Amino acid sequence: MKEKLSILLKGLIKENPVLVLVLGTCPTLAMTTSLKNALGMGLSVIFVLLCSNIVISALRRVIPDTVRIPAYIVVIACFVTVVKMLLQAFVPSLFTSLGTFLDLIVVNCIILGRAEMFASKNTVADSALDGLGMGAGFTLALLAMALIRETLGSGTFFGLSVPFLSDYHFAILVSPTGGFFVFGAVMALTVLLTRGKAPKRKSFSCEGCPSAAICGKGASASDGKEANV
Amino acid sequence: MKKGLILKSIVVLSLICLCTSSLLALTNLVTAPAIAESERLATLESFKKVMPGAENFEEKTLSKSYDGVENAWTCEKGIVVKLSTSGYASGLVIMVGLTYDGTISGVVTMSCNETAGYGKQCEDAWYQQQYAGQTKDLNGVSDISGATKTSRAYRAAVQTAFEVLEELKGGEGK
Repeated sequence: MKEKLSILLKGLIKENPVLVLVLGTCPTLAMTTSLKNALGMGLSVIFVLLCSNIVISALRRVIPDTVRIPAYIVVIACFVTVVKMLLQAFVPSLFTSLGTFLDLIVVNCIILGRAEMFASKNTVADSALDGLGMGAGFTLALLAMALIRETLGSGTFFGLSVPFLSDYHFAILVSPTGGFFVFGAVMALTVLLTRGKAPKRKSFSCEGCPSAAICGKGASASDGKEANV
Repeated sequence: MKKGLILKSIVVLSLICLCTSSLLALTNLVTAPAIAESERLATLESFKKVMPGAENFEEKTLSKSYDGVENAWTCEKGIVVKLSTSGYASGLVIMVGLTYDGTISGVVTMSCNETAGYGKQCEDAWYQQQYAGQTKDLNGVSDISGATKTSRAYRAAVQTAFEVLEELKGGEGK
């Protein structure tokens, strides 16, 4: 039971996909300019991650190793398209805010990464918990960054004007430059919270990456340092 | 690669694709009406903004393709044209309302991917409102400072709407 709980909770802070594993940074930087976008993106990713982890884990003994990447991508793309259609039909304002980044969830490293690293090697129940935990961690990271960037950068909170800040706000925080600043700051905060005990296991260095064979860098000099960003 | 493995790979991948396509077809069945409805409502909303007080909008097919024009509607007061163009970035969608006597009744920026603080100001009320009452020469319209590309593209799009007016005006016999 404790083990199941740890699978669920590790994605929140200790192995937060965005702040510790440094995956999925593109949508993070783009969608944290407002809390509404951050929440929308986070919830969409939780849905896709949960569904794809379950399906891929259920099919893990069926999918031959040679076609595993195409198979994973088809499954992930399917769920992303389902989310797109549901959002477009029932929450069109969120659909237009998320725009292209909704499509980009297909190639979000977190989802393919968890499929490769976890779902393909664990039971359906464990994979579901992992998907939930990682998705929640992603959402948490996005919300934390969006809180800073929207309130201090635009002076609004979920679109509502904040009394003092709407007159004095740091517009740079909503620009990409500011985004990187905030990203670094929140990462540093996470290191503080985890007391620097970031996971150094092999699975988070080059060997664990789905592109290792193509990349060419993974062959040498991967002593786990990559994980301790 | 063993023959058995090739066959298995093909079969498994095909089955996965079949199942995912079925799921998508099902979702599409459920969501398509809602999507069409929300798009229709959005269009109606924009009609109210560019040509307030008018009803009976009828979509028309145009004799030729005008630069950026996606749809055109006529009503009793004039026409509404939907254009999609590129300013600094693509995806600048504008609705232009023109009365039959050749003045702009209103413009609305439906969507844009322009730079915040610069081209994105085309979404602000001040920029859109200045078009109301203007004629084809757009003399009273001031560009957004620091956003030449966006401003130029916007003007060009509005002026293309006037070309559509020429065609549709003839049809209404006014």
